[in-house]
Amino acid sequence: MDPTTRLDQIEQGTSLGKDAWLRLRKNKLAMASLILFVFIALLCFMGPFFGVQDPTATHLDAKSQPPNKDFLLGSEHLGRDILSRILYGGQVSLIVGFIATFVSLIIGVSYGAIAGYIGGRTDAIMMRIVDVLYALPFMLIVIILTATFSDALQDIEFLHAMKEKSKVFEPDLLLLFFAIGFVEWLTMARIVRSQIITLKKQEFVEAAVSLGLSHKRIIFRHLIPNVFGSIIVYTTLTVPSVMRLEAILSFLGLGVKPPNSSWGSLIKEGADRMYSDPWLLVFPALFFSLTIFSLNFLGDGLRDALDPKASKD
Amino acid sequence: MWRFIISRFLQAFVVLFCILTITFFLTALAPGNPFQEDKAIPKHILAKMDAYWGRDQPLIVQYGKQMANFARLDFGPSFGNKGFTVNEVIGMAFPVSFMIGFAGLFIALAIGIPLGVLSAVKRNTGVDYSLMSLALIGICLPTFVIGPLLSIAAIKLGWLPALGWEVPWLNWFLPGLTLGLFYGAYFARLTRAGMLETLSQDYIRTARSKGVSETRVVLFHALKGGLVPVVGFIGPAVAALIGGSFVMESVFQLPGLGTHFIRAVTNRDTPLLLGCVATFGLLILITNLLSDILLAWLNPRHQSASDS
Repeated sequence: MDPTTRLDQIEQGTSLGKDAWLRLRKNKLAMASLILFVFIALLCFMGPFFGVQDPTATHLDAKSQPPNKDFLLGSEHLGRDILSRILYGGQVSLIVGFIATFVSLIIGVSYGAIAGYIGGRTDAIMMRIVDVLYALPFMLIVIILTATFSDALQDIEFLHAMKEKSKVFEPDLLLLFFAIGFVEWLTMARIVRSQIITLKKQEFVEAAVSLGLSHKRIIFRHLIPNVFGSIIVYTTLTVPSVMRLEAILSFLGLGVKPPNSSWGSLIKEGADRMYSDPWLLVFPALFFSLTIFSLNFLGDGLRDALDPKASKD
Repeated sequence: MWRFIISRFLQAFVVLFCILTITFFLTALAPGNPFQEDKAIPKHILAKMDAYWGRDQPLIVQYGKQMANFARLDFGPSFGNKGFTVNEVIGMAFPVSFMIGFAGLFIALAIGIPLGVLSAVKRNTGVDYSLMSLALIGICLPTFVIGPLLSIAAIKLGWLPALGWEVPWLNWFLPGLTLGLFYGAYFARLTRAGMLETLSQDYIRTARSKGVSETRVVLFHALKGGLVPVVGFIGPAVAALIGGSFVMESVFQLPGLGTHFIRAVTNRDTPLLLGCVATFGLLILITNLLSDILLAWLNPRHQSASDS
């Protein structure tokens, strides 16, 4: 896809959003993905209100049961219900996926927009920094970040008070939001910058400048809204890659830590017992893979819908 | 060409230097002591151990020492693996990770390129659609799901040793295959895209109109240009394969560099950590350099674009 393709070229008559929605609705695969994703997300966040078992309740009389009518997806070695663990773990995975993406979105969009708008030397230096960061093996940095700061965050009293109110303040999750957010913004910065550069030469920006608007206002009120299309597409594609990173970290024992669990840590537990109790691996892996699938297909569909000039590959 | 290679080489060293600096200060400033064990060690003994390993010196002195160590490629003794130097640990672990990563890359290229070419030649037919759907499935199924599933299959069928490293020549196969399937899917998509673009160029039409056979057009005329995106992705793929090999070592319980890296991070074993990071860094930088040179050869326009 050529990231410099101008979105304004497709806006004729109907609004961009409406137009894109009409095109997206015709894409059966993308619509099926959207429905599947919404279904999984609702299941994870609403399921607990509809009589799913407590994910921490142990049933020592029903250890390592294959799927049956009491435990729809089976139980593990302490007799905890796998379905409810998957749903609660899914909440964690989805929360990390979306919040870490949001962190990367904020950094990437501001950085790219500022570099593209100022241009010249500043732009050259800022993008050079991005190039250098691209060359860093970011997996190593994320692992070092999560491992070194996990103890430090555990000691902060304020977080212990806050985490009673909301899961989002759990130290291990907070760490993931920022560690992943800080490495995932690079591509977003590049995409936004290249679009801003083509946009800033257009008349509406000249008009804004001649009206005496501040640079901040021009960037955030006039330029960024015009790049929303690409931002949405790339965000949809970032969420699954963030979720995958979180799962890898949790799989390695560095991300979400007990008593919390996420799909990654459930897959790890399943992989440890896969010979005797394969359902422990299969079901979390299924939920995880379906979510990644649906988000990827949805992202592809959105790209076609918002930017029909870019071909599929 | 030489100017290009040398400038890339210097850039690579700046990047490596940055990574090592970040790594050093992150671990040095993090709480925790590498000599702490489950059983509490008396304070004066800890202090003596710190002094013995030079951990009581100012941070900047320690940093200077580690950088000097890096310059000599000798990272001194490991804090965590008592009695081993970092170089010995890396010497034992590196071949394991390298074999997995190399097998993974090789299998990925061996699967990805032919399928991508086939898909591009048969574009918009059933073959193309089914291959590309397969590739998308491969991309969405993470390695830590494919790996365990393959190893269940291997054990149930009794084909291959699924875990451990006792039969070195066979054991890299499953981890390598897992990584290979995953990255092969990426390579297939990239090859297809690159081939489609090249096949629509004028010089291909010229070759066809001169009566060159279709096989020859695809394999000799188009493939070189079609591989540009693949070669461009090899650098990032090697970085990703290293991350992937962490997962593979955990799934298949292999004593590779990833296992040591993660243990070094959690144990605050700074010398070993820096040794691992330097090894990974050098590996990534060398492959990036090679892929840049290869790209410049495949597509001379790329070189002039990145020089400016």
